[in-house]
Amino acid sequence: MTLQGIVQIVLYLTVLLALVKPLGWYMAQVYQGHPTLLDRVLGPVERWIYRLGGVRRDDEMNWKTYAVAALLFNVAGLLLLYVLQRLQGVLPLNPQGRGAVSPSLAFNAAASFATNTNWQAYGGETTISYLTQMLGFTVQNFLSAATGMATLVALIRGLGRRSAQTIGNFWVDLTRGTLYILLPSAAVLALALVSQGVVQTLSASETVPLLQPTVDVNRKPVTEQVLALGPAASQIAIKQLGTNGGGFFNANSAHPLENPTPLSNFLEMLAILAIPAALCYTFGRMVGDTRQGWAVLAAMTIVFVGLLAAAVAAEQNGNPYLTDLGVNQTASDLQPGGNMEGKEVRFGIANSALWATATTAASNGSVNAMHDSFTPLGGLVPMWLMQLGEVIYGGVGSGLYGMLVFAIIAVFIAGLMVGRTPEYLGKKIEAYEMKMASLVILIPPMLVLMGTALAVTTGAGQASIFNPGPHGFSEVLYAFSSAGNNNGSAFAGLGANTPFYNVVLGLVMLCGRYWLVIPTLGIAGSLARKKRVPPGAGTLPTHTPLFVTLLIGVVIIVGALTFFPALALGPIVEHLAMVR
Amino acid sequence: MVMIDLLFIGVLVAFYAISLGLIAVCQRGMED
Repeated sequence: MTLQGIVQIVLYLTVLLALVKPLGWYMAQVYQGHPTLLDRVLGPVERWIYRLGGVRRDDEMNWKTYAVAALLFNVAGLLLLYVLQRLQGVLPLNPQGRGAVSPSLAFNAAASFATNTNWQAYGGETTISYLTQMLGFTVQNFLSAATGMATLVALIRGLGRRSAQTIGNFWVDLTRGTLYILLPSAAVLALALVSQGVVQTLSASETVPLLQPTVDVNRKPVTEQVLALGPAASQIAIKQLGTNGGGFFNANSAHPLENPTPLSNFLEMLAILAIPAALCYTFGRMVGDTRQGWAVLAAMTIVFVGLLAAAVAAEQNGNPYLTDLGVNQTASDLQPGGNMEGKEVRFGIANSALWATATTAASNGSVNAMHDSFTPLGGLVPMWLMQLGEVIYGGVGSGLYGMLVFAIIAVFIAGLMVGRTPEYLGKKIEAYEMKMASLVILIPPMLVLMGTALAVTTGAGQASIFNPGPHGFSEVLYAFSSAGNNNGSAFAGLGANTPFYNVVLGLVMLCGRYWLVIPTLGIAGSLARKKRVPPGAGTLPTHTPLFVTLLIGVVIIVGALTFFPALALGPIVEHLAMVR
Repeated sequence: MVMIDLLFIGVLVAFYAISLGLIAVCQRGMED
């Protein structure tokens, strides 16, 4: 690995971790209803929204009402997004004259954006009108992220409250998360991206002369190129901050108008993990013991750094098939070396591998390099990060609530070892919490493995697998891992815009999101009712290195045991074939 | 075209109904 690559990765991690405390503190202020600097500006807007929606801020909900509200709100958004895509051809802000999106693709995209997955079976610049991008996709980027954060905050309240029947008000959490956290941060980031050259316009595409004329496949001269434009910066900012990941353009953040400079690349990568990492501090602060948040953050960071090192090493080592073709893969002053297939020269190995690790650690899914072109082991890292359940930082809200469920399982296992009723933050973990935690842990692997099995054993699924052998299997496994864990990134070789994949992946995304939100809120409701037990001699402290190790072990073992056989059929056998 | 749109909307509504059922099952589990 090059020194320059190491410096960039260390700088990234340093800035990311430095943001955790101030951003986490601010988000705790927002969700606890404490004063913030933005109250004077946004307070009247917030009160107006409550008046408009008939919401009384102090009316708290039990877990069931909270879950129904979240579900109802999301299904309404899904339906609106579906209808918007189907009618975009007759609606305004469509300078390119895009027609209606096909029914199965509209269903897939609606499920994708409402669930914070942002799996894209369409090309943004060739399929979607500006109105659908702005009113449909961008709005869902905000609201799906705010829904994840609201679910997390409800779980934190469940852990922090004593003998309570309620876990907050969904509408208030949704509004405050959107208004005080996502909107201001997205506005700042969008302006920063525009300053770097990310496009933001309502103008139609432009035809420009090529600086270097070329010829097409028929040897006819090509002197012009059509440049797709649009309101991209405003969507890209929230796509990163909300861990959504859906690109304005088909090439996502590998597109020069979506991510033009090293600085825009750094800011976008930082935005991917900033909120998920900072929410750990928010959690600690809201439960009254910041050490708990630091412990969870430490577990996430250790796994992240380990897998990042593996991805960088795999890509920097290069591809022996390229060596056979005479490609120089040695790092020098003129090139980053390693496997540069599918990567942008301006980002190189370190920034491509770092992005791939960050975007799959978080349930973001945006890309600045093509994961399908990574080496088998380099591609295994992002795939496995998704399969771990998107809990290594994870999606905004969803990552930490997933990790807290793993923490509950970890204390349960520790309790079994010493023969005591397990406790987490003073709450006894009993049969109900374990049943709900089991649902959260088991549903995504079930969706991923059953979906993959369905695709590789049916004609409809096999028809879109363009690469033979283990790589084709990896592409299908990656697609279902991405959908089932609400990531959204893809191994590009799979032809996913077919009725089969649109419908099956759409259903997998829906189940992978809401059937985890419901048991998580169930845990929140159950824990909120319980008294807090004072720590005793047999209580396992959950802020120590021992617990961090235990938590990492549980996450890794569950992920490894569940997916190792499938990974062995895909990237592992492909790697073994490659090294010969 | 309208029929297939109704089919997809029906799928979404059915998913919502099943999810409400899951909430009810989880609630019953809590009360037991």
